[in-house]
Amino acid sequence: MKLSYKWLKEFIDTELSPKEIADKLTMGGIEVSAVINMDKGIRKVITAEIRDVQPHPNADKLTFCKVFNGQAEVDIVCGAKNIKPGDRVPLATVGAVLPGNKEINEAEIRGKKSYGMLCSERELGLSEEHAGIMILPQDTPLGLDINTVLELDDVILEAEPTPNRGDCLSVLGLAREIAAILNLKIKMPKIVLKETADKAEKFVTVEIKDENLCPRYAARFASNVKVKTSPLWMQNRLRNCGLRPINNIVDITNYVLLELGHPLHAFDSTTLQDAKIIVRTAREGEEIQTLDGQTRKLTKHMLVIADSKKPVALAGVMGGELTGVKENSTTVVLESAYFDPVSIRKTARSLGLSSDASYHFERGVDVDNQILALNRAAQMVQDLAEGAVAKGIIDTYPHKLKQPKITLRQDRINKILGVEITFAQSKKILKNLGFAYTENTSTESFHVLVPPWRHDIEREIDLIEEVARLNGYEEIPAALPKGRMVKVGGNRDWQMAQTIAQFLRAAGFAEIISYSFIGEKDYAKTGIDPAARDCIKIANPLTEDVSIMRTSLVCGLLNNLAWNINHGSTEVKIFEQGRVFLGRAQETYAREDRRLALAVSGHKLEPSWNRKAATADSYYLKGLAVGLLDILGIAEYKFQPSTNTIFHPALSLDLVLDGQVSGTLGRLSPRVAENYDFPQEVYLAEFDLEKILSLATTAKKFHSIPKFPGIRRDLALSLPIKVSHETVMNQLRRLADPLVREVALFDVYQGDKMEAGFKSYAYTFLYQAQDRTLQDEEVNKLHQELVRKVIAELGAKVR
Amino acid sequence: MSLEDIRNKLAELEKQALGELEQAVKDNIENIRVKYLGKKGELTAILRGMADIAAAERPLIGKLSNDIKTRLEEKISGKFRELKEKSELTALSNLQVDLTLPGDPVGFGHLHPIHQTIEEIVAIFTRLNFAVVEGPEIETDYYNFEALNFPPEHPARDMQDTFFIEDKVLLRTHTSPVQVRVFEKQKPPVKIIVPGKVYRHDADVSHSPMFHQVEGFLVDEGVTFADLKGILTAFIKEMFGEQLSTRFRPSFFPFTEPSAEVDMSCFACKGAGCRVCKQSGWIEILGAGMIDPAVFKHVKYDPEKYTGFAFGMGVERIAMLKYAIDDISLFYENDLRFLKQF
Repeated sequence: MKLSYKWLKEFIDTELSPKEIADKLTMGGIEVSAVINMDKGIRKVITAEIRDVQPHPNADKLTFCKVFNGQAEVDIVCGAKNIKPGDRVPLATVGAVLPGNKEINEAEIRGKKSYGMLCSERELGLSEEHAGIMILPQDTPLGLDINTVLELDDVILEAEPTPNRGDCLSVLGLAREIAAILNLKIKMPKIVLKETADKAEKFVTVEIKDENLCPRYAARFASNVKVKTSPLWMQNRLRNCGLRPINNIVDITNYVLLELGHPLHAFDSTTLQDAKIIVRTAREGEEIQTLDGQTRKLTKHMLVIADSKKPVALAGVMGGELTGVKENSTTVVLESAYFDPVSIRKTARSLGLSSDASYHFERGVDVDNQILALNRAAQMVQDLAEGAVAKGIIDTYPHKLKQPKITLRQDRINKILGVEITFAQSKKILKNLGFAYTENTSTESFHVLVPPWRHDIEREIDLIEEVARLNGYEEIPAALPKGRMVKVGGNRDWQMAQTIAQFLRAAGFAEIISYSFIGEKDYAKTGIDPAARDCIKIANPLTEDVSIMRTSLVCGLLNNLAWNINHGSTEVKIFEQGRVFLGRAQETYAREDRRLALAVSGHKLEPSWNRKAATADSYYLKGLAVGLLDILGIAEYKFQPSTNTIFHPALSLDLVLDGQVSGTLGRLSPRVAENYDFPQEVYLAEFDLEKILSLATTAKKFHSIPKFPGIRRDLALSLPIKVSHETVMNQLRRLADPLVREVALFDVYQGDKMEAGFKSYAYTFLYQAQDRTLQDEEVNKLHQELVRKVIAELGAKVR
Repeated sequence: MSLEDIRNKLAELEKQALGELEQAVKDNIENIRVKYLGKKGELTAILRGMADIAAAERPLIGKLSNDIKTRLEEKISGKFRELKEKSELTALSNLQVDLTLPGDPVGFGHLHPIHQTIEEIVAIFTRLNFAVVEGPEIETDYYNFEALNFPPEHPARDMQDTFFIEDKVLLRTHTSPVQVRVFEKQKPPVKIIVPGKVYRHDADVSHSPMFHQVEGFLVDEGVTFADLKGILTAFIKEMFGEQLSTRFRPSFFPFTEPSAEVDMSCFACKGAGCRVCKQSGWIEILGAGMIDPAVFKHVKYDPEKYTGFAFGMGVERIAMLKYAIDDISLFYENDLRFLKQF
């Protein structure tokens, strides 16, 4: 809320500057986000009176005016249409400066000299209003600096009370807070009312039908009211606090709200059927047209103010269009009520209608302050609208609201805070806050009666916070916990995730983080059948494109790949670790599985002038997968052809762990690639980290390094194309002598030099014994034997 | 020839040979050797003149000539080595290569700046003996709000615009529900750090519908607000620099009381006031407080026996400050030109 420094000073005597006040509030728990000087840099703009308005001889749209500045008449050429002789206006004299450092000089406009300019509100930086010249009230003195007249010498503090501090949403509330911090007294406004002989009850009656939702309803009545423009001082205050002046009655209710924090409403009493005010819940389907011109359909949970026939206001939220005060109203009922915060909030939310009033009521207002606010408004109706205020207040308050009583223990304060605050210090803080209390010096405790404006205080801990913040958080020392040692577990998965990230980073991958929500569009593009999964949908998504909790990381990866390729990055290696949401679970609402996904498009290694660039392929991803499993200590795994439709049917593999498909890698299906318009081949993989992390281990066991040298022998086989490496390897391992420690593929050839239908795989064998150095003759014999078996049993030819 | 003549001749020969050697190039060194030391060389010629010398003096001449021969041989081979090395070096240096060409790129990848920031935060707290726990991202109203002392229809809920899945089920708006989940399973002492994704129904230059928080909490007997100040001051100094000062000011969170906003002095202007800190000299970095007894009540901890503190921070905000990033959406565009800077 905007707090006027000048207004604040009507409530407390302080010499502190606005900035100092702002710092005190901030350090007391009411953050002041800005201190705004209302001085907009306007210089040499003064009040003046229009004496004569003539058409400009050479321009249809201009007028030629004589303007009296308090001392002399000056000639002004003006473009606005809304001025007439006798109007008082702001005049920017020759040499004047307007907001934005705009200088006003003598000018000749179509042959007529103009010695200055008449200003609109926009030209003075007051509002966006620029349809005409700003007209000042008739009683404005002439020749005065406009800064003084419009109170642009004020400073506004932008205070942001937390949601629990509804009591700080007014000048009074903030003054009270500052007074408590600075140990000052509050000055309350003096109210002098000259009531008429007739009692208010004679003109209007009040009945509360729902005492829970409206514990108290107070009203006053005024007749002979003249609705007109408010005096300048009131307009200035409202404008400086960000409100637009409307007319004196509306302005008065706004003014009292800003000042005392209690929302008021004014009815034109002639519009109330049978002069009755009934506070009741709405009938299901009942309608009201609110002040903003909209017709609202009501439910039976909403509280309304009604007359004998119809709702006339949405209680505490907004008045009705038909019963509000108009230009020609003369009799006014002023309402000052207390409504249940929860009910107001529900109504405002279900109608999507939030107002200043509902904002205050939701946060709780002061039930005792209600009468003060009503009287303050009545006095202003009397003073500023010539109203005759009827005798007395119609005050319906069937059951007095009870304030909580709380015990506060001094030792508890110090135990929570870790500081030595004395009983006397606590006492002073309670006193400064205006809390009533009794004390017990032997037990060092208080019984505190919470004042009605502090809805945030219900328990001892709430009072401890009050002591802490008013004593100052800076008074609490910084210590280090002495606590017991804590068992630290559970970091394993976190560490493994870091290991995976570092592994992929070393392999040249950039990590991405994509939104956890995707859209139907993504399912359509990837061909993942949304119906096949138990998808979790967001009931109130930002847009349809981000409305489904992802069931795969692939969508985010592909979208990102497309983004990067479209933005000129053709070498893309990206990965993401994150969760997918797979339908309902037991302990948590959804089954949230961790996944790892990666995508590559372009080369395996960043190409360079100095090395041959190899394009990424399925083998590249397979190698990465094996490397990853190795680094995570997983030795048991298998790959098998995949049937995952996101992937190319011939160029993809499933990773099988523990007999379970735990991931897929390979080339993106060309059909899916087409949906993304990828201009280059895309390879991707997605792995189930739940499975992988469950098998991962950091345990290692050392195997002794062979002491005796080994001997290598190579063997190139010509094989039918359909025979797989895996089959060959299995056979080779089976057929080889135990002295063969290692078999590895080292070359693959398929082409012209081979017989049609055949390919060549070349293997290398390492013969090595644990206990001796092998001799050539022995190895030759063993290897020849192996070659013989391979030819016989594998049907392979040796090349 | 007299002995003296031969002696002079030999000295003359050595001098002449050395002079020639001085001027020699690699290819004529062998010629010099043959000319002076060869079988038909000049040294031999001189020695032939020994016939006139007395037999007793001959060994003297023999020694003299041998010495000269040894010296010359050494000089010649030395010169040869020198010339050879020189010509080899010249040959190597004359290789036409351009070493200004770029080196082979290592092709290292990049971790996401958000990830790096989280890891940095978590590492500091794990050094302080906090354990890492992660919780579900889809939560119930109970864990996200109710058990954290947000009553239904309380304006405090406005602070956190929520994505709903269904009635009472939502995307967690903060990492704090993990407090409740841990307390339900574990008795004090607990000392936990919770990194994770959170979601709010909001999107502009400084708000993303998905972002990251790190939450931490410690519950035991005798934990105080002073301990909270100690831990967080240590964290901020470690994370942002020893010279930074911190400021704790009262605030409000339903699940902590007393609550605090923690500011650090602006690293950009050292507290003088600048654009980064919006002229205040301070940067808001953390929310914290003593865990509200109402939270303990939900998990059946005795608030008279146990006290604790909790704190939370927005990772994006910290990363934006740290790397001077002005638009939060950059984190989720994942443009490689952005990622490669980290």
